[in-house]
Amino acid sequence: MKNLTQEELATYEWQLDVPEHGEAGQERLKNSTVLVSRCGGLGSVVAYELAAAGVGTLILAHAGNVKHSDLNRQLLMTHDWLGKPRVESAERRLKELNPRLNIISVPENINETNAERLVGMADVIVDAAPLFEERFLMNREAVKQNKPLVDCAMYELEAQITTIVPGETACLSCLYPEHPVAWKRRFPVFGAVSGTVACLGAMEAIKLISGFGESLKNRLLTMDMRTMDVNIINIKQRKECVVCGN
Amino acid sequence: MITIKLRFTAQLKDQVGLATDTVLVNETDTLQDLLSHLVEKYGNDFGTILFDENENYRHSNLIVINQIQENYEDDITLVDGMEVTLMSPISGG
Ligand SMILES: [Zn+2]
Repeated sequence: MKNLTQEELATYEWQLDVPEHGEAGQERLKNSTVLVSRCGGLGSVVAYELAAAGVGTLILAHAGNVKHSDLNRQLLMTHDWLGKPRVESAERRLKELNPRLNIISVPENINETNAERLVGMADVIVDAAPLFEERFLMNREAVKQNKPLVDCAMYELEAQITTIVPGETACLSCLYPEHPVAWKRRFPVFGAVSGTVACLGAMEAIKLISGFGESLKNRLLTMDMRTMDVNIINIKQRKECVVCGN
Repeated sequence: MITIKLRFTAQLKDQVGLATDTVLVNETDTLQDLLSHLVEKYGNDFGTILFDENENYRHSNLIVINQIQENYEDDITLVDGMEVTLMSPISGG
């Protein structure tokens, strides 16, 4: 376990005052590794908040180059990086904020070939992928390897988040046991919506690593930012779940 | 007859064109009866999100009653004023 340096003590001074976090929690953040995939509207802000909070290592998995249509929400992508790899833009922006951050950039989305390895390198996974195929892979590996996974999702002005702790909670395949038919690759989105759920997701990851508070175990938080309705739904494990069931 | 309050999210909301609605059902209706009734009320595009071509329920659509997730097969007694939320799954990033 690496201790905090004087610079880190100065940087995190204000959050060290958070009850039940303190220097011990901050050291746990420093020594932790979080996988964030992808680094789009959700994942960009998750990664930025985790970098700001002092998480030691981020694994960022995101394929492709920066496009104009990324720039309304993917806050680690910048105009000057159009046409160049997204993970490079993400790495550059995160290092500007926190040069101490260790970043493992993977210019690929989560797939059958890399999921086991990337999940295996992380202490916590934040699932921020736009496709269910990627989400189900991360979920399967997280359950298999007994790693907590924070699942963040949004559509239009709606947001959802739950925290999956293998052995304690429903998993993503309990929640969605069959392939969702109505989901489309392109979805309506404001960056402020994806950014909101991303901040909640980052906070869930911070709590899991530092070890304080109550996470969204077996609870699905839903928000409709059109009306500002917020709900907590109690969700259930399915005994017959192909991923976590008996 | 009893009144059921309905809430819809994501693609189901898009198909209904409303986030909330109310519907009158018979006191003896089951949850399954309610959903069949809603398919008649809101049409085929709504129905194909909820049910496959063999009329099996697509379980990835969440059914939430009074903040608790329920299964389509559950034996639920509908009561006057009950709020039923139907949520199609989302994964936007
Ligand atoms: Zn499961």
